[in-house]
Amino acid sequence: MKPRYIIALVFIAAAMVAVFSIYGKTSTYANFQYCNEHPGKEVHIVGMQVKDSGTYYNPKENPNYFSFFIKDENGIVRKVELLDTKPQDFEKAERVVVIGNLDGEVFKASSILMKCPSKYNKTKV
Amino acid sequence: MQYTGEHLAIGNLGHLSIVLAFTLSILSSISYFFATQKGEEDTSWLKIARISFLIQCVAVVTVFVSLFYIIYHHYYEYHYAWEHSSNELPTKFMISCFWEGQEGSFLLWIVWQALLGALVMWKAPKSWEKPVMAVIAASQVMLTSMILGVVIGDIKLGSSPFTLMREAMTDAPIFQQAGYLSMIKDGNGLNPLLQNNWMVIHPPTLFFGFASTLVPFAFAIAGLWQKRYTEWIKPALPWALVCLCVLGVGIVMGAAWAYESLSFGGYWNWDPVENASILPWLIIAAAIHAMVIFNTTKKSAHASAFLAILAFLSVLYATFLTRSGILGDSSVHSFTDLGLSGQLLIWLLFFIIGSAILLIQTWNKYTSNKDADSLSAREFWMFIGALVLLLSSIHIVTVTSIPVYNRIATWFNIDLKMAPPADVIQAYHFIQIPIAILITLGSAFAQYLKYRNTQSLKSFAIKMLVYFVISLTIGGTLFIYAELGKVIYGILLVTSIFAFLTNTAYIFDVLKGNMKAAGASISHLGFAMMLIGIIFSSVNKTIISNNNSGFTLGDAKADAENILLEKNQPMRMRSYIVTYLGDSTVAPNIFHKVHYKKVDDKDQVLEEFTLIPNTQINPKMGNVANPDTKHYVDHDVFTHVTSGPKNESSEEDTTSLKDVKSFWVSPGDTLHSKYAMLVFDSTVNLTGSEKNTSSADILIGARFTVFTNGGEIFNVEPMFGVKGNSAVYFEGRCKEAGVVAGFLNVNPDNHKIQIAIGERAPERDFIIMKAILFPYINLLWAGTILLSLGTFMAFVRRMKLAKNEI
Repeated sequence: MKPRYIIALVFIAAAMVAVFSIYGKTSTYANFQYCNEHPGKEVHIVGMQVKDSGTYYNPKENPNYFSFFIKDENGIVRKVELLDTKPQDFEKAERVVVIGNLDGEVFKASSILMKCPSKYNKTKV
Repeated sequence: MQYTGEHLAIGNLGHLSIVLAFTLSILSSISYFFATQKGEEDTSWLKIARISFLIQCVAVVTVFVSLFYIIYHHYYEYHYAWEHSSNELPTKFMISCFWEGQEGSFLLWIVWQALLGALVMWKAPKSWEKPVMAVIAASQVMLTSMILGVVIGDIKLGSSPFTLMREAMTDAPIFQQAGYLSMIKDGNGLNPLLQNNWMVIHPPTLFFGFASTLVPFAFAIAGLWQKRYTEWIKPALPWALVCLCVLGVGIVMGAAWAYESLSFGGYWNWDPVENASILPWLIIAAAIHAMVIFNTTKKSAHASAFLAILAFLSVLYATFLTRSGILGDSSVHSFTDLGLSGQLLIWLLFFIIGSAILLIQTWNKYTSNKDADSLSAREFWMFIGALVLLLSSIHIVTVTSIPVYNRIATWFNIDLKMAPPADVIQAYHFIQIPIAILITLGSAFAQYLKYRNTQSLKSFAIKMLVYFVISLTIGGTLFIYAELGKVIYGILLVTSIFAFLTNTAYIFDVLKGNMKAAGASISHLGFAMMLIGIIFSSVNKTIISNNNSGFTLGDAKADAENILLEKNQPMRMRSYIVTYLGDSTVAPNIFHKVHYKKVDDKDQVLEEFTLIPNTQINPKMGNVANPDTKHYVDHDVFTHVTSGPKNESSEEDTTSLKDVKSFWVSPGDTLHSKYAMLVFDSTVNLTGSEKNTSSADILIGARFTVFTNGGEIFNVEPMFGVKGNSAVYFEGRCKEAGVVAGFLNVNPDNHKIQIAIGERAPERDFIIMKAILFPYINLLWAGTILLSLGTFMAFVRRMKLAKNEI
């Protein structure tokens, strides 16, 4: 067999590995019920910030602890803990994406994405 | 209604120019098409094609200038100016307004593409002008259609940057008034993150890189179309090298911007928008390798065409990803959706399908080379290099496209719910690091092989073995000494050093210092140096602001990156003593002074410096924190303040001082509170002073010196006055001493004054900050400079070679 065919085969195999390797690496958009069924699994949860419950951040006690509550698509509310500072303008965010895993009743987030509807798209003068 | 005060002429000129550019691009493309089909005997089609393209160039420059004029003069009747600029914006950042919005960044791309087209018309070999320009003009049709801003029925064709406010927000009640413009005094402003010098030059450079992928693409398409399957490669190669060089510089400028002004503490985050910029770079680099192989050996012409076409398509795909809104939550800095995703998709599919048909139709026209593949031939390994670069881009595009799979699945009523990897960095690294190892390994030895066949394999093997053993020794030592941890980093370090050494040696050993031919060696050694810089600065990146106070925070400890620093309270962080010295304000920025003292084991001060990260107060877009970095030759100290005291609105203390203890005192008397001692110095008449802001009839201040239990000294000056028939009081506060003093009364007989002292828990101003050491990050920047320099040298050489042929 010519080397070029071997190369072609190796390349195709490597490309398959590169493509299908993401299968085990991807996370899932989920809700809290899914978390209960799959304990410890890293997920993305899209939810609404429960503004009435407020947020907790006391830098004097611990600058790397921030917590708040979100409600998922089914209306289940859970506390979210982030071991980092409170994101800038967090109160203004309504829709929040939290990435992490549910540990009992508390969602341990490794990062938070915020969608501020009015941040870049002001429609009022 | 007749509106007053609007400047409609400039917008009309701009919009007219867009329509003109769009129409002329169509005319030029069609004329070039017929000129190509007619061949030699035609001159009239060619004339029309050239003239229309050149006028089109003038038109797009007019569009650009018109939009700048509008931004510069703060014509907020235009939505684009209102949305992206404001009155106080410095002129240099007005240029940055062009790339905050979609329309402006398309415009930038259009201008570059027009100028590149004119350059091709002027410089490219005459036999190539017609078919190549037909493709370039067609691409210009695509881009100008994106900012056309014409509505036909229900279809919106493009989004014009000259849309008026009253057209963009038809429902707003303000537009019921003819003089509405006098009420819009200021624009929304430019995102503070984009108000950075790197952001002035990074986007134009990057967009030039994107635009320039078109030229090799156009040559390849022209070659396939005109059945000149291999002739296109030589004239296209210099353009491909320019593209690689400029695109690389543009990407690195973006990395430098992220490093200097973003909070995440790094230069590359595998964000989809970043990935979108590196895809074409990888593919054009692969294409260049294939094209260089062809130039010497006449092999891999087919691969050259495929890769040159793919590079441009990857730019279109990346544009679709970042501008259609499909990335949604997965990118922090993609553009907002303008409702152009359908139009973008149509263009993307048009170019993909068109190219695919051409490639498939001509598939059998490339004669397969009958020569046996020799493992000792340079081109064999170069080709593998191109494949590995392609592999890298396949992996990146696969992971970046996750939101696209979700969207496609919805067409089949499947809710895929696939989210980007929770650990994004790891998901990329576990494929990309092995790829980097292969690339450095290949670039280390391939140049030492001869094209077609290497006779002196033995001396080659010995040479490589010697360099490899040296690299293994150096790399192995550094791996252990620098505690890099994972073996894979060690392997990459060794292969990078190997590539650096062999490519450096090649210039002296083989080229005998002939720098004209050293472009490839310099870019390869630059790439290796860049990787070495990346290994050290990212693997050995050290967060020094983590909790080292002694008490444990449980799980939190490992992740703790931020620390609270009270004003004037030095804190030890590894080998630094860090003190927050306070703030100074130059609106809209608050500058936090953070003083660093580097000390040795015996606390001897080795050096001192002050970093000034700032917070820009921006009520419209939210406050933005900007880090500051101290640069050394061998490391950087990065400091980011996530929140300072003035970020939070300070709560006013409303406790009444009337309820607390009060004392009658004479000058020299001492009062004791829980945390401090107060000495009454004297009273002063402040009636005529600027402190009398409430214009009281009489105002007296009582001066106290406050000695805290910690030994610090402050002053407080409560004030008492009379205005009309009533008394007025102004408290004196000292947060650090936990003291609030009120001046309640004066006894005119004995000159004693009545003072109330309230006690609070002492409070200090504080910042929450993150400090990171980046070792050897300058190797990364220096490496990228060498990489670009090498590419540029290769461009100069290939341009001369291409010229000599004609």
